[in-house]
Amino acid sequence: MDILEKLFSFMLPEQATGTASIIDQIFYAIIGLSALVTILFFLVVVWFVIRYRRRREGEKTGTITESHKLEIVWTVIPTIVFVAIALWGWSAYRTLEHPPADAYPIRVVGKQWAWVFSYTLDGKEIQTLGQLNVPINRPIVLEMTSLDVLHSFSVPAFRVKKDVVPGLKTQVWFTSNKLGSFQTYCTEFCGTAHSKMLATVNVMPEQQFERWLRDEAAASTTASPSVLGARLYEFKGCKSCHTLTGVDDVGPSFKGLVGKRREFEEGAPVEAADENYIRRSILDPKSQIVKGFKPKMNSFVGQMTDEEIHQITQFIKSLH
Amino acid sequence: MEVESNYLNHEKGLKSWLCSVDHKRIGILYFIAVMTFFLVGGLFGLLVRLELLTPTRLFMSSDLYNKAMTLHGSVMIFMVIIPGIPAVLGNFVLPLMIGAKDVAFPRLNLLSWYFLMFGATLAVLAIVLGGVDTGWTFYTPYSIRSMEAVTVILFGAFIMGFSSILTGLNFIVTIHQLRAPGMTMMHMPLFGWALYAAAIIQIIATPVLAITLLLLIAERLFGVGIFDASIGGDPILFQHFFWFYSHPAVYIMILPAMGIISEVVSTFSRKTIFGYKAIAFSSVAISAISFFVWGHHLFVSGQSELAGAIFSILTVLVGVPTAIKLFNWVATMYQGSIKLDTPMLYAIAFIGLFLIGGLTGLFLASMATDVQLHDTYFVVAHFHYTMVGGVVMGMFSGMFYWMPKITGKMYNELWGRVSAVLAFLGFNVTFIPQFIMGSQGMPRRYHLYDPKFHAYHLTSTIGSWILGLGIVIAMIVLIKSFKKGSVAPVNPWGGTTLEWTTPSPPPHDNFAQIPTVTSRPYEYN
Repeated sequence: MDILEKLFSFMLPEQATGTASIIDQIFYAIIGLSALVTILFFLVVVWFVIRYRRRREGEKTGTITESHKLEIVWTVIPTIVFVAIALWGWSAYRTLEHPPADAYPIRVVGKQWAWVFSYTLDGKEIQTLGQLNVPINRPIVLEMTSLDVLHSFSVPAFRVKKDVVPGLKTQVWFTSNKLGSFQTYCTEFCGTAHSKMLATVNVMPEQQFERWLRDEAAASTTASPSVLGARLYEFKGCKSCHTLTGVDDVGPSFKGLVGKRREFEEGAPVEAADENYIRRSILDPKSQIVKGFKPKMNSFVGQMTDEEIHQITQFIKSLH
Repeated sequence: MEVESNYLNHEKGLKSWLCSVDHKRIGILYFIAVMTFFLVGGLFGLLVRLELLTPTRLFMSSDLYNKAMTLHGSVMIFMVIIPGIPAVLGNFVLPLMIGAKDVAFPRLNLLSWYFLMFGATLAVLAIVLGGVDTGWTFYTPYSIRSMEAVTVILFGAFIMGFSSILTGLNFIVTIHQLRAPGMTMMHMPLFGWALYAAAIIQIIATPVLAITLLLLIAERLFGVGIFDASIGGDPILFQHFFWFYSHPAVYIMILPAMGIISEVVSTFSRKTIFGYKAIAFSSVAISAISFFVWGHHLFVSGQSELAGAIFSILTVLVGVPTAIKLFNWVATMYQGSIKLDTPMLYAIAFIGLFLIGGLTGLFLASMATDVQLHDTYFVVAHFHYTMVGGVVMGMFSGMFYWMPKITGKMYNELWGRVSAVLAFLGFNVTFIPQFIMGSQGMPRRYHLYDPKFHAYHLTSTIGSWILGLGIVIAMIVLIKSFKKGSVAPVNPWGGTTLEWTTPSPPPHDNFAQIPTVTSRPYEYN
């Protein structure tokens, strides 16, 4: 096993959890077996092709047509080896699937195209966008769901992956034993910016994590509506399509939006974009597609409160 | 010199082709269609690889990339490798091989071709209407909300399904009813067994896809709440339905290719196939087990652990009959008289690449390792090793093998061999790096990627050009042999099956007199 690990460890990412090696052991075993079988097949085929190459037309060939013994051997041995691999994989999966009872819960919401992580402290909700902060050496369970289409949460260094499904709660757990930042990917195709739906897991010492959480909780109570709107701009995923630079992307830029004349693909134009226009754009975006854009945005009915719509509107108004 | 009457000069004019009920002419119609689709699908594939030359945007927007990726998959799966071997070579060769004048239902056979063309027209319409960006798997709920053209391409795939069902039905009845006198099932060439096993899947599994696609269309148009969680549906139900067809479907693709390998390895080794019964029954075993493995696509989808475990064990079991075939092919070469002509080169490429495709399937069948590898480039590479390394290599092996019979002329052997070597090398350069970056976590269907994967993507893209060149050369060599080449004898390879007893190209009625079979196939000495 050690030799296999030396030979093939270049194929796998670093291990940042204690459970990663459980998966890697199976990986090395199968790759060792595969390499052995492939080399044997290769040698035998090359040997036969050279040894039994056609020297002249009409030469006599062997007359063996079957061998029950051989058929049994190469039926039974693969069956045993293959089933053993499946059972090994299952038993490892059992260990990886069930989180310890004391695992620290973090809620994860996937949406096109952002990850939002929520923590609870003293009844207050703390949210981060694209940054999953976790303490080292503590079991963490992620309780995940999606607001729109399928996503999948994957951290290669942790060897975890699970689909994030609208209308369903799925979970993954891990205990990271390494400080540092690790890349996460969305691994279920989710549309235009699928490959930009990334996040980072920051593994930090326990005390640093606790301090960060307390500071965040304190900061979230004192901000103005437009500052909270700026947070929503990121957390609700507006950022994926609407820039703050004045340059249009998938959707119109937010900069200088208020007061602008808006012409639509269908229907009468709006002379100057106002709060009502923004509200309609959030709740029923397809009713007023601005000329030159595609109907890409889904309605945020049920996803944003009136309070939040007010905050984001204040934020957009502040962008001249 | 007077040219003998054959199926090619039997009648003249476009109408005589488009309305022909001759299985050989319909085979040619399929050949033209499938090769055209192959060029289109291949072009999309090369564009995808080209865009991935750099980690950032090269020449496509993300939306365009997603469309190219979707069309590469959809065209290749539904329009090239599903119809490829059965509809082109199966149509042409099966009746000749079993000593029949035609398939059991010649008109239905023509109708199958028109279904494929109608479906393909809808696919083209979908592209004209703006393209489709769902991936070839059409996973819900994304496919419910995505652009309008999705409905059109779904309906196209629905229609093409009928082409597949009817071809399968035709072959099953043909094999049962039209074998030459004396040819028992155990005397039938193994390509026949392979087509038979694939046909069982075609007629049982394809209707499930048809229903699923209709439900998805209904969901898109009327919001009935089957797959969309926001109106009470279940998005994972779609995955069960979809893979109930689409996993057996990979065996619709690979079984006929395996049948070709059995023929080619035996002929070019001048040796009786080793373990005829084992190969024949393993085809049927693959076909049967393939219906019960679909859940291995859902190990990380939220499927229950027990379901996962059952599917994992069933999945590795489907590897057993596959392994049996590989062992028997290699054993056939033992003490043979081996000649490395183009069909044999492609067949050996098949054995090597499909072996790797099968072994890498073990990583994905084992639940624990699948967690790491699911939806990464490892899966992409595994799938291409089985579908290109397997099906496409098998298809070219068969096309070069039977082309002298089809055209009556010998293709250019040197360039045929060059194409096989280029395709084999290019294929490995393209897909070996994908195994490595996939294991490291590189997700599939990514337009932009982490620069740490750049070296692998770069190598893969360069490989795709070599592979593309090999395949283009193969196509040119094959197509040229319709026009030019030395006259093909009745039996250029020394084959023992019945298609090698009738002139090349065969007469309209296949055989002047229906042959009587008295012995097993593959008797050489």
